[in-house]
Amino acid sequence: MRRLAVLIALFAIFAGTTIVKTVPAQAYSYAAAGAEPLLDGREALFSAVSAGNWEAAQKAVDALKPEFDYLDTHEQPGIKKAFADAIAAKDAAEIKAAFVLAASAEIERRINGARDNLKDYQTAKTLVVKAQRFYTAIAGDLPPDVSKTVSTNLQKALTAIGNPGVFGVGAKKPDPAAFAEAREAVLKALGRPN
Amino acid sequence: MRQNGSIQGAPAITAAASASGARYGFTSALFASLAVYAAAALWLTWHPVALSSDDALFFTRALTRFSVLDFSPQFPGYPGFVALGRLALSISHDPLDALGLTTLLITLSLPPMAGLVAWRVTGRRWRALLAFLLTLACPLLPDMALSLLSDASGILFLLVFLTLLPRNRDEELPFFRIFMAGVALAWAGACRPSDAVLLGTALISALVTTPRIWKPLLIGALTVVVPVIAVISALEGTLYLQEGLRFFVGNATLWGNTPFAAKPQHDNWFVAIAALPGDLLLIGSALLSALVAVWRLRTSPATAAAAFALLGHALWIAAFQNPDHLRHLAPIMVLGGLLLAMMRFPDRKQACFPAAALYALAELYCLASTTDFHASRLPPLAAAIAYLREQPKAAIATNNGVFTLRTLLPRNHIYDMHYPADARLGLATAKGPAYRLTTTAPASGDAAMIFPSRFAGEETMWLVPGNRPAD
Repeated sequence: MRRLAVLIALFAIFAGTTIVKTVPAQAYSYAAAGAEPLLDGREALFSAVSAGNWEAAQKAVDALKPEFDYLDTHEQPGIKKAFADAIAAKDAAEIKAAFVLAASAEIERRINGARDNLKDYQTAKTLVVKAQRFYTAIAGDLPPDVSKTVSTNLQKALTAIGNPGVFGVGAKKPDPAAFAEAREAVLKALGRPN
Repeated sequence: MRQNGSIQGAPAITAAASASGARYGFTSALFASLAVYAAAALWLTWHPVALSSDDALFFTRALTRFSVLDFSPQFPGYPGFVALGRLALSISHDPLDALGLTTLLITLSLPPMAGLVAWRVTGRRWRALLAFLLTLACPLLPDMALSLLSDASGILFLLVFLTLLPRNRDEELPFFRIFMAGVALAWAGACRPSDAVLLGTALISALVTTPRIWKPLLIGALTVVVPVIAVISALEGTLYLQEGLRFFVGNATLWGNTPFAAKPQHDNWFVAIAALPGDLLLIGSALLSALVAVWRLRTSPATAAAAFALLGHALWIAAFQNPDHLRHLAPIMVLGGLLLAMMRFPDRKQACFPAAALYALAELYCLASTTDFHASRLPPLAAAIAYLREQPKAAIATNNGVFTLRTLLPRNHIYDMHYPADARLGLATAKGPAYRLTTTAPASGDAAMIFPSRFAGEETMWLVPGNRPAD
C-alpha cells in the first residue's frame, strides 16, 4: 500500500505542475510565417495601423527596409514609395494594398525560382511552398476569383514539380509545360507583368 | 440409499443449474450488449459526413495527394491513417466519404478489440463484456467516429498490440505472434505519430516486463518503421525535419484559442476536464486504475503496458497538448475502462465491479449531458459554412477552420485570427458585413448565430458581428 501511495504522490506532483500551470496564449497557425521577415513583420505594421499609430507604422516599415530594398530594386519598383505614400496619407486601405503588392512580388520571385530549379525537386518544392505561405497571408484581401485562381494554380504548380519516388519507385518527372501554365495563371491573376 | 443418493446429488444439481443460469445470463447480456452496439453504430452512421476542422480537410487532400509540406495532410503526415483512408477510397471514390468510412469503422472496432484484450488477459468472458461496454460508453466515441481525424486509429492498433502480447510473463508465444505485435504497435505509430509517448511507454513497459520478446517485437516494428521513414524522406527530404521543428514549437508553445480574447477557452487541462460533466471522476478513476496496475508489479505484460501507456500519455498531454482539444483524453478514457475491467484483487470480495459500475455511470452521465441525439445535425464548422454561404459579401475572421472556410466559401474574404492585427484591419476595411467566427462565447451575448456542438470533444461556435475584440 505504501508503494501505491508513493506512486500516487509522485504522479500528482509531476502532473500537478504541468496540468495546473497557466498556458500563455500566443498566435499559432498552420499558416505560420517561418523565417520570412516580411510575413513576420506584418503584424507589427498592421497592429500600428489599426491603432492609428502612424509613427509605429513607420518604424514597422523601417524594420522591413532590407526586404523592401530588395523588392524595389529587383521585383517591384516603387514598392517603397507605395508604403511611404500610404503612411503619409494615413490610409489603412492603401497600406493593405501595398502589402498585397509586396507579397505578390514575393510570390512571383519564389515561383520564378521554382521554375529555374525545376530539376531540383527539394528546391522547387520549397519555393512553391514559400509562395503558398505568401499567398495565405494575403488570401483574405484578394478578390475571391483571384484568390481561387492563385490557390488552384499554386496547387497545380506543386503537382507539376513531380516527385522523386521512393528510391525511384513511383517517381514522377517534372512537367515544365504544366508548371509554366500554372505559373502564368498565378501571375496573371495577381496582375503581374509576365 | 436413494435418500442418501438424493442428498449427495443435490449440490451437483444446484451447481449445474447455477452454471446453466450463468451461461444463459451471459448470453442474454451479450445479446443486449450487441443490440446496444448495433444501435450506436446505426446512430453514428446516420450522421452526415462533413468537415469539422482544417485537419479533416488536410486528410481529405492526403487521400489523393500525399505531401506534408503542402498540408496534405498536416505534420507529421499520419501515413498509416492515410493508407487506410486510401483503402476506403477504393470503395467509396469520394475522399470525404472515404475518410468518414475509415474513422467510423476504426472507432466501431474499438469496443470489440477492448473486449478481446480483456478476454485474452483474464480469460473471463464477463470481464471481456465489461471492457466492451465501458469502451462503447466512452463519451468521446462519437467525436472519434465523426470528426474525420486519426485519434481512434492509434488506440485501435495499440489494443491490437496488447492482444498479441503474452498472457503472463512466463507464457511462450510463437515468433510470428510477437512479430505481429511489433507490426501492430508500429502501425499505430504510423497512423498517429503524435501519440508517440503513448505507444513508446507501452513498448518500454512490455519490454521491461517480458524482456525475452524484444527481438521479434523489434523486427516486427522495423518492418513498418523503415519503409514509412523511407517514403517520407524520399518525398519530403530534410524539409520534413524543418517543418517538424516549426510545427512542434508552434504546437507546444504557441497555442491559443482566440487572440482577440488573449486566452484559450480552457486555461489548463484541470479546467478543461472539470468543465465536462462527470469527467473528473472518469479521468481520476482511469489514472487511479493505472496506478494500481503499476503498483501490482506482477500484473500481465498487457496490463502493465496499458497502465504505463495511460500514465505516459496523461503527462504528455498535460505538458504539450491544447486543453481545448478534449479528444486527446480518448486514450485515457479507453485504457482506463479496459484496466478497470481487467483489474484483479488479491481478495475476491474486493471486486472491481463497483469501481467499473461507477466508471460506467460517469461515462453515461457525461454522454447524456453532452450528446445531442438528433443524428441529422452538421458539425459546428459545417453549419457555420452553410449559414455563411448565404452571405457571399461577408468578411469573416476566425482561427478555427481558416483553410476549410477559404476552400468552401470562395466568394468570402476569410482572415486568419492568429494574425489578429491583419484580421482586425481586414474586417475594418471590409465592404460587406464583418463577422468573427469563434469558439469563445461573447460575454455580451450579441452573437448573430450559434452553432452548437453535437457531443463531447466538439466545440460550439459563435458568429459575432463587428470588429470588436472578444468580450
